[in-house]
Amino acid sequence: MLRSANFVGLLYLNLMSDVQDYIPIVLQSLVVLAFVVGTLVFAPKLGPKLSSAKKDANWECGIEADGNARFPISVRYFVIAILFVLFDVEVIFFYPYAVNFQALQLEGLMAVLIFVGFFLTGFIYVLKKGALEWEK
Amino acid sequence: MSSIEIIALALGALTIASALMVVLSMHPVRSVLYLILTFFLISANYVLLNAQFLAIVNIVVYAGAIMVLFLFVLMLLNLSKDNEPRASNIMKLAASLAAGALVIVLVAALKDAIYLPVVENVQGNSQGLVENLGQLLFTKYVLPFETSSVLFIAAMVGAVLLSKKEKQIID
Amino acid sequence: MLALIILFLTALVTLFVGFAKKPLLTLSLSVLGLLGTAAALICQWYHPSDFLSSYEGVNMDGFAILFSLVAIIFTILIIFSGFEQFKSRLDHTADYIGLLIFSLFGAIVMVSFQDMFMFFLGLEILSIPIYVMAGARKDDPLSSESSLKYFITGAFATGILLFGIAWLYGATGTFKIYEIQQFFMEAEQISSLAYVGLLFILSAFLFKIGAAPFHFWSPDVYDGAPAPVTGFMAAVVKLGAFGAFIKLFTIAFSELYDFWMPALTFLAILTMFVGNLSAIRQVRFKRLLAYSSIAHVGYSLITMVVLTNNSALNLWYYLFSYGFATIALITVQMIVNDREDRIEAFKGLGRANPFVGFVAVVALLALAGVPPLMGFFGKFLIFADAISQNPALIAVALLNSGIGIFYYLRTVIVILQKPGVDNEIEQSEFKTTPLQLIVLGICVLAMLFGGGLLMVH
Repeated sequence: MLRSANFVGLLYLNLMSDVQDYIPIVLQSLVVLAFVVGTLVFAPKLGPKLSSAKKDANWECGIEADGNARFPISVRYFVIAILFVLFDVEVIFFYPYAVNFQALQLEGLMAVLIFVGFFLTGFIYVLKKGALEWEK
Repeated sequence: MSSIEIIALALGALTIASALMVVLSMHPVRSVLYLILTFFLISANYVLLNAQFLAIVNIVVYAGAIMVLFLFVLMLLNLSKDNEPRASNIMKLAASLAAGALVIVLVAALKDAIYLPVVENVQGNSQGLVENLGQLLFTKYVLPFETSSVLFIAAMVGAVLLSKKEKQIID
Repeated sequence: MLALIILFLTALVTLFVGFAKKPLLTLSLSVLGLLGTAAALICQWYHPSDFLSSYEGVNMDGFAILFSLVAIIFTILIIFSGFEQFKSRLDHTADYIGLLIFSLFGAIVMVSFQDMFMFFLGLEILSIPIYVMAGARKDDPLSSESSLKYFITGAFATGILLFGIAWLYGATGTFKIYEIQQFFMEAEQISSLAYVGLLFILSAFLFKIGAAPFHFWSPDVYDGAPAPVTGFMAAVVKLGAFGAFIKLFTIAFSELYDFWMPALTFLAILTMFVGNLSAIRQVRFKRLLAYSSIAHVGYSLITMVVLTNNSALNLWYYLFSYGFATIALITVQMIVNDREDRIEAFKGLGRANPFVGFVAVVALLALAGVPPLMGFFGKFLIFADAISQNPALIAVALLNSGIGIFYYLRTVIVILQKPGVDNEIEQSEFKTTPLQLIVLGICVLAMLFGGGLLMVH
């Protein structure tokens, strides 16, 4: 049962799937990167350039910047964000199910239905409790 | 050394460096940005370990959703004033001694890693792919899967309870 | 399994019945559901093969059923005694009760787990509602502080635990506790990763049960949390954590006994001294209870240091007796209802309300371990079981019991004193509700006659 080998090699070598599997992803990343960098580099060069104190301000939108950006925000945003994370995680569980939809047959469907049922109960609870309403 | 080992070592070093920066940066928002970088690097590690689903989930949930929560918390706190209490020197010394001892123990234990049992890899070299994960999750580990929804409902109730204002308090 | 399903449905029903804003209806339905869960567990005890008793990851064996039943009894008592407080927040009455039931669900998963997945889920389901409940009194900064402290330290401990589980998985290649045991039995050479994993898991457990030197959170959290939640933490959360602790260490880590036993011996002694010596100086009642709870964790750890066939049962009996005494005292604390929670406020309780005073005295004496009471038998079982193996440890424990008697008796004297002649301390009214009287009655009966349970076991 014991195997002595280079630790890093043991971890990675025989688990890695084929490198060519990743070629499309790498290509797409390159395209995305090239587009973003390209736009950023060329856009200022192609247009006319004006500069003044007003225009070089951090937030140039016609309204004077006023006050501090670091003011405490309402806790309501926070609740919505937490609820979002919970349902986000729920949706992620669908992906491995969708891939196996046919192979899992009725039992898998039951498992997912129960899971969704629980979440739906939670959602109804949250709605009835009025946690998503904007109270003042 | 093969190229994959070089990638793995470089990635590991980068991950540790970026995780250190989370702790060492003085500005909280900068810490959070380094944390996002750390999550991406950890995802890269997952890809190297052939756990692609985990890598994507890590980015979507942690780097995406949970980081937003982190930033919200930072904005809930009032950070404009620098009123953080400073730790005394004795505390700093004690903390570094404890952390140093922990590091020594961990590194010493890792030297033993070559005696690890070989985990049988049933699925061939495609372990960790979404399909196999789904197979296990909805058959063998269906109970932990359903139980996790209990945890989520408890968390939902808790979040609502903490944030709702109380209208009726009878005394 | 059936019990878990009933319990979960009870929690959901409780939450939704809450929209009707009829506290009594919510209370009766939730207690009915808890009794149903207990009934399902009892059926499982007699017919282990039916009722889906085991499933991948969870097994309702005798051990799990005993621990779960006690947890259910304690939860019902706490819901009864805290009902007055829950009712005063009409919007959230059902949420409080529902969260307690969710937490109980976690406790039951934690004593019946078979693999690390379920163990971790159980721990989280147990903890998260308590993080919220500790901060239930939003108008009180102490309560918010308690919630935040518990959450941050608790989340950190959970992280340590996960880290430990990961190292253990690295060393053994499995998550199932019996397979881990098998691995340690057969392995020619155990990798030191396993030891590191064990140490991390041990630290996380010591945090959860509040043993020294991981106890610093518990006085602040016990003090700030609303009284019913304090009672729940002391009785049910501790029961679940200890159940998982002894299960994991007697099954998965039984082969590594020689490695963790010395550490645990030292920590048990440290915990007893820290708890008892700090308790002496307390002036606030819930802080006194917190330190007394730390001391009792020290005694309970003795069952794990000397591992005999009776250890699990002794631990169960001890936590059973400890829980009744603590719930009785928390109920008395709610009746006294002093704004600053001073022990001095108990002055005159014995004269103003003899029954409540009597129960408080009995509970304090039970915690001290005075002979005819249940607490004495709990201590006696543990000490008698351990004395041949580790007499020095028992000597230390007896010395500590002596220290304990000092501060328990001091509190008893305060209760029996005449109401304050000096008008500095304003007198409480000692208002009781019928439900609280029921709780006190059940607790005092259990403490007086609980020794009879020994005949059965």
